[in-house]
Amino acid sequence: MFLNIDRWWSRKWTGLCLIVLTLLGLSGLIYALTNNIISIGYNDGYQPDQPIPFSHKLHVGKYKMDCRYCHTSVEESRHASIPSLEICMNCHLNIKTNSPVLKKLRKHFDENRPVRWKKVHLLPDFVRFHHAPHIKALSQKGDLSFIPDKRAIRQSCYACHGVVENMDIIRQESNLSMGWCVNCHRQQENEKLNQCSTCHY
Amino acid sequence: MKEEKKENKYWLSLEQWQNDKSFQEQAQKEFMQPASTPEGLDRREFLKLMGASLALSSLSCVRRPTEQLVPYVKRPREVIPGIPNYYASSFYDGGEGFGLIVQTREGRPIKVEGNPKHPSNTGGMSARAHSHLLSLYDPERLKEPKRHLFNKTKSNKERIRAFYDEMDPLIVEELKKGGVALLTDHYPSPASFQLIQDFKSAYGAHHFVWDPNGLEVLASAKQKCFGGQASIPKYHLDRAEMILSINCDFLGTFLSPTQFNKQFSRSRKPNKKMNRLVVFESPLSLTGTNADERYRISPSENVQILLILIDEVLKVTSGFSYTRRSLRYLRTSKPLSVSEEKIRMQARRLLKLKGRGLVLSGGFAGQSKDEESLHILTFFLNSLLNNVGSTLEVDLPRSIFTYKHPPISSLIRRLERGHIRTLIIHRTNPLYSYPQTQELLQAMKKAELVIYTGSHMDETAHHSHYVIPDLHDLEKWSDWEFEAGLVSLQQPTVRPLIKSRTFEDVW
Repeated sequence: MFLNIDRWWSRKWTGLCLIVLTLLGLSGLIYALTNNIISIGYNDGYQPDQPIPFSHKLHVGKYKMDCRYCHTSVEESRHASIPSLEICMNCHLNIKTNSPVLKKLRKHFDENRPVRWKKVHLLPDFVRFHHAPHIKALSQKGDLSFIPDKRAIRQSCYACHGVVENMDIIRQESNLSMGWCVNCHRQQENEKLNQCSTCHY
Repeated sequence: MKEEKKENKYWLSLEQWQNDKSFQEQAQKEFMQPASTPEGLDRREFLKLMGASLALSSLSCVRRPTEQLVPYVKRPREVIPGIPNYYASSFYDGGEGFGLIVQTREGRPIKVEGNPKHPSNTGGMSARAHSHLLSLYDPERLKEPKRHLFNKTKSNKERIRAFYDEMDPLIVEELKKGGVALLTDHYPSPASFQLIQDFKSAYGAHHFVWDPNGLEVLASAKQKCFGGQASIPKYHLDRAEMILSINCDFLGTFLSPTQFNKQFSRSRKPNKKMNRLVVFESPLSLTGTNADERYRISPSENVQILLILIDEVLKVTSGFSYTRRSLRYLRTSKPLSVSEEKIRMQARRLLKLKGRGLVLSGGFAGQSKDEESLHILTFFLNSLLNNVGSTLEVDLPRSIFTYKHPPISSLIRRLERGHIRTLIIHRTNPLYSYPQTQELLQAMKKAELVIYTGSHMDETAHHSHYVIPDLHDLEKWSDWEFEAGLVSLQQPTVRPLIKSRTFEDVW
């Protein structure tokens, strides 16, 4: 039989072992993927270092600032805009003037140069997300089971962005996959939104 | 073999039918000779290489790229990222005027549309109006003023950047020496008009106008026939039940096609009152394709056809028998491309619709040495048919803008005689559009200083000493009176993208 030649990589058992191992490996991989042990392609847990170490835990958690004070256009536009430097300087012109972490911020403001933040929640170009209707919907409804508290506007932000007030550095909490989005669009009250062209247009 | 041959008697290829020796040999082999392969590479090697390179290239997509979010330092209050702002403006492209609505996102215009509330175009737009947005972002736009370093014969092409602090005093000195001429196109902007008047009185300059559309002939014909200013009459095609066009492409290029399109379609409804369009023209135009009856004529027959029409009308009009006899002398005996009877039939139709018809002529296909007589005859015919006042409006409000400016030919004469030291060219590219290019070029070389405000390094810019690019229409303030009595404003929708000044600022 031509399989029984001397080279070890051409022996019968080598081939059979390889096949069995591949099958085992594949099934293990599929088990891990479907049971959320590992995920491929999604970026949940992404926590890049930002140029200025802005802490949401301090500003939102400790000082209880409203999300909309900085992210101003979230109720009317598709972007919840990153705040302009002016908004930071509203307070920091006079607060903590000697802090070393804010030195960089002031330098940017004095030189009229914008801060280049690293984008954390990135959706691919073929899908479009509009903040305004989501904020409106999530803040009015009371009965979404995966939101801890149903009333404050910030809860409508936490639904997708996680509990931001506990994050020193912003982290992507949800995997932002289509299935995760559709879970909500599939609900009874959102029946009309369960179409392809809702997000892909 | 014979039976086989009989079976496929009908499906033999030429080679099979010939059945020579080399074919028989080939028929034995299963595969044909392989096509030429790259050296040292056969099929299996090739597949291995392709598979390996595919796998290797997909290995590089490990991590998604980092995107940056760059907010404003000081956000302007009216800019909300993601929501567009709309600004009303206007635009004049040298022939037509439009009211615009410009859509901008975060300070950059992205789309222009017609403004439905503007009485001139009521939302209609032309291709040029839609596309003048693209010239704002044209990468070939001059970004700063340039200066040509000419040698004595002006044959070299070296250019350097020109700076305002050097340029301004130099140019003012030259201007003070006198002999200043300003060449523009038809520029109905009241504010700029005032500025030009001030400039003229300050330096004793002369203002010449070169209009590639050639409308000054129409304007002077209107003045000769009806008095008033040398301006373009206003046509009301929506009031006409029959329109006769003699080489006048009013739906495509003549005067204001956008307006004419709207007017024409208003009375083109298929009910009892649908208008009729009869066209006599030479090149096939948009108007001709929309005509109910189209007759192909030679441009030299424009005037003859009008004379026949007038003759037919005068036949039944009392008191014009002497005029009719004199006009007959202008007729030539050369046979026309259209039978005379057909032309007379149109005249009879027009007579039945007195006051509700319109005869149009002029435009690019009507430009000839007879153009003025063509227009005068058309106005005469229209007045005989009582169209003046209803479909043809000649009693227009007074405007500071007429078509009575010294023409470019007198500029060339002055240049040749050496009377002009400084020539400023604005809003026109005469070395491109003026027919006698060499004449103009040689005349321009006699001027000491030529300043051009064009936006590209085009034909005229190559032969100017200074090219100071004017800002785009979407970047500057202006006002327009493209229709007598109707003033529209133009506002900028973006901060100037180039380091230059507007024409008005420069002076």
